[in-house]
Amino acid sequence: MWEFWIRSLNASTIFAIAGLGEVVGQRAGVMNVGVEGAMLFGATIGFIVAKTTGSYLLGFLAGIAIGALIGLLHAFFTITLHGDQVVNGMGIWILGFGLTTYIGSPYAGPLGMGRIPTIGGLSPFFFAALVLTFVIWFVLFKTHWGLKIRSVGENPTVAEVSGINVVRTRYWSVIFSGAMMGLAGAVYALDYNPVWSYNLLMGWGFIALALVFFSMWNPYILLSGAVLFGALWQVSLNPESFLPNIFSRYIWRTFPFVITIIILVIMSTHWFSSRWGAAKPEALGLPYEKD
Amino acid sequence: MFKRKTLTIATALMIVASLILGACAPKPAATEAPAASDAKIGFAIEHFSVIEGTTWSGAQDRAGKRLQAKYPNVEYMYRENVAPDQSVPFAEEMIADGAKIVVGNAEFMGMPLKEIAAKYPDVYFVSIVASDLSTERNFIRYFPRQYQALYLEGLVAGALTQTGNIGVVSAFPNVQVLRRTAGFVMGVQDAAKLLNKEINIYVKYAGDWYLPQEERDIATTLVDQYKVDVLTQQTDSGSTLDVATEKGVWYIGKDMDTVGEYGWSNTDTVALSFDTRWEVGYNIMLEQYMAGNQNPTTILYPGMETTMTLADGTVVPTVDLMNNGKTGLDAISPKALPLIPQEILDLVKQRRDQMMNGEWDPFTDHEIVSNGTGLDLEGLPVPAAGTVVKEAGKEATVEFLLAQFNFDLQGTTILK
Repeated sequence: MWEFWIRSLNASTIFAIAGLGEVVGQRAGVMNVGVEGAMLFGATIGFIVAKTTGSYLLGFLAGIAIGALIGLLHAFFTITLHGDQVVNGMGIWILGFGLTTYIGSPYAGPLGMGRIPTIGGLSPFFFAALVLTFVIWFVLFKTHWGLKIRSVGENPTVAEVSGINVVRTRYWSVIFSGAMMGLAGAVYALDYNPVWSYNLLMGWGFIALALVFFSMWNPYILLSGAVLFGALWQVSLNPESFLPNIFSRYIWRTFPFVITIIILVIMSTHWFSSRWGAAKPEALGLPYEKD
Repeated sequence: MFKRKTLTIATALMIVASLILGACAPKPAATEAPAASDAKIGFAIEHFSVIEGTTWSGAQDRAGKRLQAKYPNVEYMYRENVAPDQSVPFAEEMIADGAKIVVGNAEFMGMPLKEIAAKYPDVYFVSIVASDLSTERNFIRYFPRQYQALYLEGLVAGALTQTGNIGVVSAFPNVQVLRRTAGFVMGVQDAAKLLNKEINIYVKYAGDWYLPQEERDIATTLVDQYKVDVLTQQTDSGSTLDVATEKGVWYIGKDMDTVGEYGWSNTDTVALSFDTRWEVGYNIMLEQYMAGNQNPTTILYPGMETTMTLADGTVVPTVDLMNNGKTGLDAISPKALPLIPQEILDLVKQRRDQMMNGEWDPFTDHEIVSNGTGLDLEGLPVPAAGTVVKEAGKEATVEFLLAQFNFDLQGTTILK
């Protein structure tokens, strides 16, 4: 059973890091549905750099850098050019899938470096994800920066009037968001499953995206959701070992998405908003144009 | 007025010239005479996946290059990542560029080529077999007898296991996978009998050919929970090999010598692998095409007994044990070699020699008994456990092996 939890927590680490990045972007009002694409870039570039230099550090830094660059690209199209956030995010995903297949193919196969040491079987990035969760929660809800980020995501016009530079705040949030996705991809390719093959994430970015809605844009709920989704993922791999003869693995695999849909339906009810307030950033997905 | 008259005369001359030139031009491909041996021949492969870093398409690509090197008049052309709806348009593009043999390197995207076989009667079309065996006069089905090499690998795997547990990370039950796995299992069981060992063979399916995360998890489960110390795979990602390296267990490769070709690992982990030379079958097709044969062999199922000579003079069989660039017994990892009893090494050598000479085949020699698990085919349910599907010594027909082998061998444990 311990092995099951080890694997679940290691998988949840990747969901959590990518999801935390997306939370920051969405809290600032910018949605990036291309999480998978940004993660593919981070995974591929991180893998190539680590393999060619023999340095994990450079690999992770490259993953973060390319993620930030993808974030910058998304910010330019959606904030400066006022492009549709969903369409642009889909573009990032498709670009990521195609371009990483092209540039990564010569590097296909195992990384061939010694594994990153674990702590009791757990990846050190699991503990990093715990720290990041606290830091991001603290920044979002206890600091002036966080207030700015949340303000531009709730009502950018009022935020602008209050003296906040909406464009700059959104830019930095989306760039940070991309960097986190790049890091998540690099963690996957350098630590979780250090073997490069095309489309290596196989949809994990979409699980991270679903997790953000599940979390109601709260880092702590996101972390617990990541653990839940990680456990569900493991159950889906070996359903007969844990809950035999209930559902096939394919049904288990849909659970994160089914749970997310249920949460979104509940959140959209009058009962929820009157009792708990609107969890969703009001200006999420809306382009901002200064009057 | 003069200008208009000149223009009319010039136009008329151009039309006449075009008609004369058109009459002199070669006839369309559809009515072309069979190619002379020195005429340029386009050999086209449509790869279902990317080429670089893959064992399946990578080996097929190497086959195309080797044929181009052998025959000065053969030009290898290809398309990558071909989906089923792209196989016909890409084929027609390459035929327009001179392709005379067009291969779909997986059944799901090779079968659509059958639809245009009649339209291009002088082109050979080829589809790799997964379970369907339908043919046309110029629509060829091809698969190499990889199970022969897998049998030899099974002998070595059976000798190497200390825990008595061998794990197979597999894709999903289909004829190709079941037959190939059966070849391996037969080798393991022969080794167990010879060495008086009890060996469990665990197979767990990932659900598809390429699911890196599932494959990693299955490999890890096999090692951690089932105490497997020899891993092999019937899937396409490198995850199983990576888990073997990480856990320090032996890995037995498939399809291609990934240590020698790609440097994915080393012989401290990869005890043995095999290499598929698709060019051997393609060479038969090319020879028949060059001879002007309008009725080529439509089902090709060559084994170790069928060889070809490469441009550099090397003679290669269709499949052979290969690891780190070495073949035959030399392919066994130097670290693994001392762990393998002499009687197993002798048997590997004997069986390989016999198969090279076409004197022996594991599926003909052995009794084939169903495990009761596998894949129900239309009109062909999985034989009940214990059913003797084929008696020892009776020849296993091509149709049985390629299209009807729908069960696991007795003694295989299929994990849910």
